[in-house]
Amino acid sequence: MNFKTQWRMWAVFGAIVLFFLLISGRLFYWQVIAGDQLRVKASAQYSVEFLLPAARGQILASDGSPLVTNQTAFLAYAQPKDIKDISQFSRSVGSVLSLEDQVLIPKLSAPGRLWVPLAHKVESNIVDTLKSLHLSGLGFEKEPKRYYPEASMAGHILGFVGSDGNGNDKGYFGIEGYYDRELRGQNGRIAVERDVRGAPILIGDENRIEPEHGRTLMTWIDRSIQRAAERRLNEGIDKYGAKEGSVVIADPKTGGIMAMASFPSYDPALFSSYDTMLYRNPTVAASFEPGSTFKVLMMSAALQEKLVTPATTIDETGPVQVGEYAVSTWDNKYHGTINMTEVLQHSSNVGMVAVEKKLGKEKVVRYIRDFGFGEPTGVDLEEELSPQLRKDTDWREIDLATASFGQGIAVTPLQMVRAVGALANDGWLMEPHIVKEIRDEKGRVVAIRPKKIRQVVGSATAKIMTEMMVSAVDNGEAKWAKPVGYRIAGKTGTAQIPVAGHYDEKKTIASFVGFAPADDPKFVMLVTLREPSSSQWGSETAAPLFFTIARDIFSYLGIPPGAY
Amino acid sequence: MMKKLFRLSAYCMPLVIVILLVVKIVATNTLASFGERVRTVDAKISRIAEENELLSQQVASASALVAIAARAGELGFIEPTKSQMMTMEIDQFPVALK
Repeated sequence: MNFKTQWRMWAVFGAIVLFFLLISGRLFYWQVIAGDQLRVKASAQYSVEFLLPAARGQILASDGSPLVTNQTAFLAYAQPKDIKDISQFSRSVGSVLSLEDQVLIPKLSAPGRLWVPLAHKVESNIVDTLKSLHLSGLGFEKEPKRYYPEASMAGHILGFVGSDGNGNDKGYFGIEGYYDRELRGQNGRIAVERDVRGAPILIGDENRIEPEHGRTLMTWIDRSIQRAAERRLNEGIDKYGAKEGSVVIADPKTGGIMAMASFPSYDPALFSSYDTMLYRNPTVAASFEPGSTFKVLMMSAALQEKLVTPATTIDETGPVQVGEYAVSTWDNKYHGTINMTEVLQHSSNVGMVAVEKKLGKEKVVRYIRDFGFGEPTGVDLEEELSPQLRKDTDWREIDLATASFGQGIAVTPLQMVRAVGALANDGWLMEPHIVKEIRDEKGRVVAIRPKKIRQVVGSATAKIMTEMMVSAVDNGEAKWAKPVGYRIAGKTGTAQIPVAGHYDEKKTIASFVGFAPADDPKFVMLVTLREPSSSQWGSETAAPLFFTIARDIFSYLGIPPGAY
Repeated sequence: MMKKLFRLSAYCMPLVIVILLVVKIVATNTLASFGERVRTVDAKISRIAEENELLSQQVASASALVAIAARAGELGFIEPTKSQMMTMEIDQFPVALK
């Protein structure tokens, strides 16, 4: 073999090797480097993936009727490349969706925009109107929306559904916020191979993950009582010229919240049009000084410790000196020698200071904590907070004295209802709950059982205290408003409001707390009115409102007068 | 005997394979054309689910206390100004007088 032949042979061999290397390199590029991208492209041509959205769970009242359910709504969107005349499109769509041309046209005309969302949660009737326009480039995608059959009723309890940072539905405040994970469920998805017309190929691959729909929450809320409470509270706020007001009604034996209302409030369906300050539920997220309603708790502590009996007397002859302060009665009238029942009837601050002195610092602070103050109640509402109590070492003599008649101590309305509810429940403090049961789509039920926290006072003490509270209602300042024939245990309260470091004499929070029927309590209720202008006293404002709501409840529950 | 069986199976086997292939092609062809029908059924399910949701919503609206109170008002019902309770002893029965 000569040199020339040999050279040709090597040249051909080299060319083949080079060609082989080029092919290998190209194959490496397509299969390894660009492989994933190509697989996605190919998959997009023959397979299609759908989201199977999970329906958000319902929220039901105690009778099973929905307080919140879902309705079909749509995301309306535009595909600018399919729009023939942008200004005409903008005018037509804008007039139906209340969108302005100046906002819409720049969005639709922006270069490179393939998809423009126009409006979220558009209701079916509006979508039908838009469809009748037969506009090309206008599309719709299902987007569930919350529906409130009872309109704005129980708005503070329910909370609302807004969007998170990624545009997904998220519950905020109330039950929607607290139980967001349970209500939300888990979206599913399905990937199927499709034919040239887009129909699924049955013999092709199918990857399906079923959606897990949100769970349904059954609450303790009785919608009839809730409606009565809201209506009466609204009327009461108007009648007494109050700035704000709240009502909490609970079952003392289970801790179930039957109704919870406060005004001003908001409509969860239109939450974005309200001041964000209204979103928080004041009955669990705002504090007030309870005033004389707190006396029943201090008195029951003294009864439990056997330091007093209903017949124990004190001398109420004038203001009592506590350190450098003189504590007087609310009306500056003094009744001489009075017993403990009369201390409550007259709502005597002087008498309560005497009770506090018998209890002493350690027991006063212990009972305040035992009645559940200084800690959240554990209610299933997202925004609950608890006002801080003083440190045990920070209680001065005057602090203990004022605490005995409910001043200088901050509580939430729910904490107050729970504490007084213990007196209606043989002394047992319960954990309050809005939700009674959680049900999933397969019918499994998780019951949230009533939870006893602790027995603060004994059953006998609770019964004695109940009688003293009945006497306070029958013989106290608010006896004129009491429904005839019913035994109601209760106590009025009128607390001064601290403003800029001092108590304003004219601005008060009027309240009334109680339970009924006294011998077998079906409900415990607290009514508060902030700064009532017709009268500053609880006995003339909150008490009659309490009794009006109580009458509605008696009638609704079929409790006749004299039954207990 | 065994030889005969082997020979018979040697002739039959290709025939069985051909028959199975034909069955598979026919079945595949039929199933593939069902896709359109499945799409129609899916659309129907979706439409019915929507209708169901709408009906549930209408039931919820109609049974809402707000709606019931409004309807009761239209029919002339008024709220009692004073509750009246009737109690009946065990041996008492209401009777129509006339």
